[in-house]
Amino acid sequence: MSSVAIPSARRITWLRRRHALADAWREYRRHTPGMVGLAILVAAVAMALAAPLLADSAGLHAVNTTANPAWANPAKFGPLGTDNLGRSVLTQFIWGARISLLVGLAATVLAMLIGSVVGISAGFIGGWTEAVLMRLTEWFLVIPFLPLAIVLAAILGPSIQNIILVIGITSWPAPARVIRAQVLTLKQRLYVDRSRALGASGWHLMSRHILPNVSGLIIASTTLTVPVAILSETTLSFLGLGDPSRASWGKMLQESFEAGAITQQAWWYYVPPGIGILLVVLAFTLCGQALEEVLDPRLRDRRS
Amino acid sequence: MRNRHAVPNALLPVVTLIAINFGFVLSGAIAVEAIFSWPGLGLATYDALQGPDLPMLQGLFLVFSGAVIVANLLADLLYGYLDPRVRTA
Repeated sequence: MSSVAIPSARRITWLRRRHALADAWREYRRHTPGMVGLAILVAAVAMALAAPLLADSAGLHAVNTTANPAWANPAKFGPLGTDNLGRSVLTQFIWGARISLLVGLAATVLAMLIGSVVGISAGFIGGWTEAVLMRLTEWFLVIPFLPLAIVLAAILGPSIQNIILVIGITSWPAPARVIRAQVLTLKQRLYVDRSRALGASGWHLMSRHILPNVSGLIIASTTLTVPVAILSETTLSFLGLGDPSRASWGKMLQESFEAGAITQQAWWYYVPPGIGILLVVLAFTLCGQALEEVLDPRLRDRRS
Repeated sequence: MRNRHAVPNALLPVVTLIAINFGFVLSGAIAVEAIFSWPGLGLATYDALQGPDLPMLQGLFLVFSGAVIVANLLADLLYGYLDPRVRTA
């Protein structure tokens, strides 16, 4: 008695998902700017994760660096010279990557969480809920970011959690609107009607049918929100609203500005964090655009 | 043709954007004035933040919000002038 093993429904789903993922990756690999962005990102994240191996965190505190010369240029001291307190700029750069990336990612996760919940419930539930949520979204959208962020950061006080909170709750409206628009079209699909006819609850429809179908959009807009969050963190740190005890790239720029690195012609103090921010922001934007094209076939023709 | 038909219709969204972007111009002013030490409201904000001088910040944000509201009001009034169709609404 020989029976052909029929794979279970769960297994079929997983096979289909793996195929879809492989297809997406193949498409992504053909996208040169996206691959360049990905390479820069992998390098930056590896540097941030390996910070304890690459540089001693004791070098971040001026009490431990009294033996070093101040304002030493790269030829005299290490690969990137020292700042006004004798701290190695390379050490600060490596440890600063951690905070900059962490704040950027955490704030984006927070923003996308709020954005997805608001977008999906506004689009799917409709009616009064939609009206209230969308007016709230528009209200947040037209408020200029920096003044609101400054007010919140000044009231809440400078700490890394507060910076994440401030950036998170000021950058969710744009993704929320994009997600709502997508949900509105998904809601009209036949399979949603069929599922509803079979007795599916609103929660089941939202979590099993709507959410998986907007997840591509959520991933793409996450990648495009991270650079904005990193730039916001830099701006807030530069204005002195960052965590005073943690080195980030924005804080390096602020300290070099306060210490007069430009008049000292100490380019090695402010150029590395500037280039770091530039590269990471560029890389995230390239990846985000590549992901958008991969996940939304309508945009693919744009390239040719 | 262009000046009578295309430009007035194309101008409407531009006016909206100018008004909305006005707030973001203020954000840029804070950063730029702090870097180049230009004496203006932006530098005043930066200096107040170093304290932090909260009453000063409150006053500054009152001026900023007033400016943004006035810019948006002007944009709304300009609609009526640019596009007679919205006048009755």
